[in-house]
Amino acid sequence: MTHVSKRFGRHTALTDVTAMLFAAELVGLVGPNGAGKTTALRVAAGLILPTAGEVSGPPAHAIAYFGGEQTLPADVSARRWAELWNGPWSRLAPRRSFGVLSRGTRQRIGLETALSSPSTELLLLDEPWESLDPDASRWLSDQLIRRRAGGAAVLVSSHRMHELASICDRCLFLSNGRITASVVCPADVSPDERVASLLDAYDRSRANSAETSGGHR
Amino acid sequence: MRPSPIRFLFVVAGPSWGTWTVAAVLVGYGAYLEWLAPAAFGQVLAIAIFLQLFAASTGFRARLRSGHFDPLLVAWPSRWKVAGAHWMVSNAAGWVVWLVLATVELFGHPRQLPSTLVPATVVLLVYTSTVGWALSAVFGRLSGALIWLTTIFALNVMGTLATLRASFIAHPPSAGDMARSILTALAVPPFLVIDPGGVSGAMLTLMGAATALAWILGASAIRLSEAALVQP
Repeated sequence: MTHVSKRFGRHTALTDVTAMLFAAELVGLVGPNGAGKTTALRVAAGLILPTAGEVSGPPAHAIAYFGGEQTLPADVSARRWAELWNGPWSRLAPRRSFGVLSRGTRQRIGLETALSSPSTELLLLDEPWESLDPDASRWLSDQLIRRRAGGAAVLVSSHRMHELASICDRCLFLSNGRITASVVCPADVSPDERVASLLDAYDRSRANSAETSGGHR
Repeated sequence: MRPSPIRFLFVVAGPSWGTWTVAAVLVGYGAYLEWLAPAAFGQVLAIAIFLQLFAASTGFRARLRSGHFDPLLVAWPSRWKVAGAHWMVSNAAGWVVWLVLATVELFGHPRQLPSTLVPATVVLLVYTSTVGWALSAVFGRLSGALIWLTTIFALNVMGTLATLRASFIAHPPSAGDMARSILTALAVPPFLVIDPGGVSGAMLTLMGAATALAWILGASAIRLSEAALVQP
């Protein structure tokens, strides 16, 4: 996306956001609540039209997006939903409706759906580790690494620094609707150092954003 | 593999089991009347139209803003195509009931064109379904049925309904009377089955055009709706 801005009425969700994703790259999107992560992902998925700027990417059928378990229809049977995508895992989905399933089960089924197509070129996931147990978290991280190895570009928003640090090639930091930093996750340092560098970048990004908005006032 | 818009919408926003149960009861009542009192079969059509108003008023924006349509809209960016599929799925229950009632009528009177398939009743069904669907696409679930029923109720309370019915039945000698009778049909379309004598070719043509306009209104509302999430 290039110079993308998005306004909802008087509220500005994104301001002049420019971000590129390359094939076989796994990128994390980090920022405090309300920073604009969900809006950025939905603009990238083509669900929301930007107020200004341009978004380009692979054809629609090669894009997969999952906005979290709360976006699954509570009154629909999980099995019927899963069968829409004909995945081999659809037989295992419970027949009960999403509304009575645990958040973790809903999240897992939603992720299975988003990851069902092997021809996905751009994978966009909003807080994908939320509500997952450690086994499912590990499964998700493995899947994302596998997708990257298969040539897909993956963008995941999350607050989970440990997960992001362990699998991402780089992280973009979003604050008040602006990209405030882009940090490469070095492969040749320990996991703890990677997490520390991301947390450091997060703090600097927040401080920069506060200064910028202070300067504007 | 991406599911087709119609298949997706049938699973996510298709007619509920409750709707199909009511439809089955209505068809049973239709069969009963066709067997024992065929002259009263029009009652079933009036009830079917009334129920179709509610069934077709599915709305779009609430589910859109909850994210229920995300996979559909990502895979199928053409909102016109999505609107077409949504219109079909929203109206499916009523259309199925209508066809089954036509079959029931054919069984009862094999040599007669079923009253469900004469041009006036077909136009009535498609017009009410589409207007109900379009209003709910603009204002939200069930609003199509509620706006329409409130309007008819208000006309009745004001005593205007009887006047409108009289102008509908009258054989219009002038263009002004003709216009009044067409406007009456657009506002209170059940007159088409209650008083089939007042139906004219021009009226049906204009109702067809109004149906097309209503479809464009509903589809435009779907096309312009912003898919920004609203947290529950």
